[in-house]
Amino acid sequence: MKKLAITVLAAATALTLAACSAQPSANSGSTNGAASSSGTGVVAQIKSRGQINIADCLSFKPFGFYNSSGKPDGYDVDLANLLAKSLGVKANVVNVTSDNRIPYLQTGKVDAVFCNFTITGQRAQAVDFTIPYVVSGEGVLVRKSANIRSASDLNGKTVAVTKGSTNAQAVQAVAPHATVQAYNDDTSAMQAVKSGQADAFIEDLNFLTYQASQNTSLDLLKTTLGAKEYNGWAVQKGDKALLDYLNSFLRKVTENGQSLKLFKKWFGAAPLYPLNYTTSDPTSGLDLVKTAESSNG
Amino acid sequence: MHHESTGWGTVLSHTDQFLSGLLITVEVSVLAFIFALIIGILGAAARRSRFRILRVIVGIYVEIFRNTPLLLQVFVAFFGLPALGLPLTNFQAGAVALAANAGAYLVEIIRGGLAAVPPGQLDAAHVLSLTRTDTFSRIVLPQAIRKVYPPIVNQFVQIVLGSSLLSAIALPELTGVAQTVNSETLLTLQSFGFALILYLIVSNIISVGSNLLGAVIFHPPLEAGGRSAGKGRRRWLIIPGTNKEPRLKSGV
Repeated sequence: MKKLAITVLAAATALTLAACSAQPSANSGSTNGAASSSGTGVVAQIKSRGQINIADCLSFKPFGFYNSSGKPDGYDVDLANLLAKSLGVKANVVNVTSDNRIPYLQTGKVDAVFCNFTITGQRAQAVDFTIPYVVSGEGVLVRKSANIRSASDLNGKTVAVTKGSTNAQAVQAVAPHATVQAYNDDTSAMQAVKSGQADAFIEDLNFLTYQASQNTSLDLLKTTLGAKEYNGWAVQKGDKALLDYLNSFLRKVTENGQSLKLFKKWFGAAPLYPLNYTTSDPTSGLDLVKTAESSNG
Repeated sequence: MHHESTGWGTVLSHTDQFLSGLLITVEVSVLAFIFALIIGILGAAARRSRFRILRVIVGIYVEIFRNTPLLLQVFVAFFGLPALGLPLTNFQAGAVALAANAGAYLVEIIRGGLAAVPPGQLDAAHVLSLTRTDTFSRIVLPQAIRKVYPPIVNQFVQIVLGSSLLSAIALPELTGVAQTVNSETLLTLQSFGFALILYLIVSNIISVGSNLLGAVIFHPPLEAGGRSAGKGRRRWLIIPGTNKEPRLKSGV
């Protein structure tokens, strides 16, 4: 009986291994690890696969969320579908959170990360950023009953942030005596503020403006924390072909007004900080961020 | 990647954070375990009482908490209870959920342990005019404790491991710290690996400690199996997957 079990297991393992290696080489290429994916073939791989895998934070309405039919929807998802159409493939939107989106990208589970991903020098060491697709800032959403009028009022209050995002660092800078609660995703953090577990929530300004409009018990402070944030798309480090394609796509949809139309559809108004690609031909969001910072400073 | 050589070094430089997370894990687990034990003892007594209403109420509690996911119980305790007017901090909500969940299992474990004492002995005790107190403390309890000790220790370990779910309600216990360090350093393997090692150490400390305690208080010693070991086949290190069969030739 034991020998039979071992034989069956061995046969099953051998069959599984054979099946894995028989898959089209495009798949095995896309599941390579963090090692540089040599650039040139990636766009072709996506086309031969017939689908582009895009990571988005589907707990971040109206950027990305699950609609009433359980399908991914939102500003990011609409852009993803537009991108897929321009490549002639299907878009496969994968749900990630702020703290696992980079590992998903580095392990090849996705080709690109959307997700309102703020471009910072530290993150640029792990991934390559496109030019920005949204410009924003850190806003503060407060419960009306919590009596918070300014950022310094946050001291002594409970502030919700999301793990792995730029919000967590922003709180420490302005209110070192605030109690910080770090949640796995934005839905949990919103839930915390709505149920009273937290007094305030620090997140992207565009996101919070939308949330404040949907909840009468919540208010958005007039102040924003820190500097402007340039949010871009991320690809694996060294993936120049896909990076160039995404950059030219972003320029195209900004120039022909498609992205503005989609933004107005989801947020109800034009963006607070409009996109302005005037710097001479940056190759990545980091160049644009650095140029903007040096011209501001 | 050239980062690999400094990967563990970078993560180990956060040891202070990991240890403070571990402290919270231990605190919430011990607190939950104590309450779970109390629930287990009272609940087992209720399940064995002659009042049907007690048996039914505790039975419903046990069924609900054993047949629903712990994570959902945690969410209800933290996000749902405030709506009913009972706001709990994430530590309190976590302890409550863990205690309620483990308590349900302990009710059944303790009830089984008490029921395992042969009823003939209770009759004999009655015939010998032993008081109910004496019957319980000198006949029932010593035998029942031998039966329930390994599963209760196991439940404690399950509480410690289940506490990792409390990271979802922003409690900075060990798993939450690992997530934070991972998002700061992007060294996923090392961050989560270090936390895994710490959980393994804690589980082993509990197992070994319970073995030693069992050797001291149980005469004759408990048989091998579960989280206890008999004399001569003592397991000093629990490594998942390797301790299934007792090896008669070598020690571990």
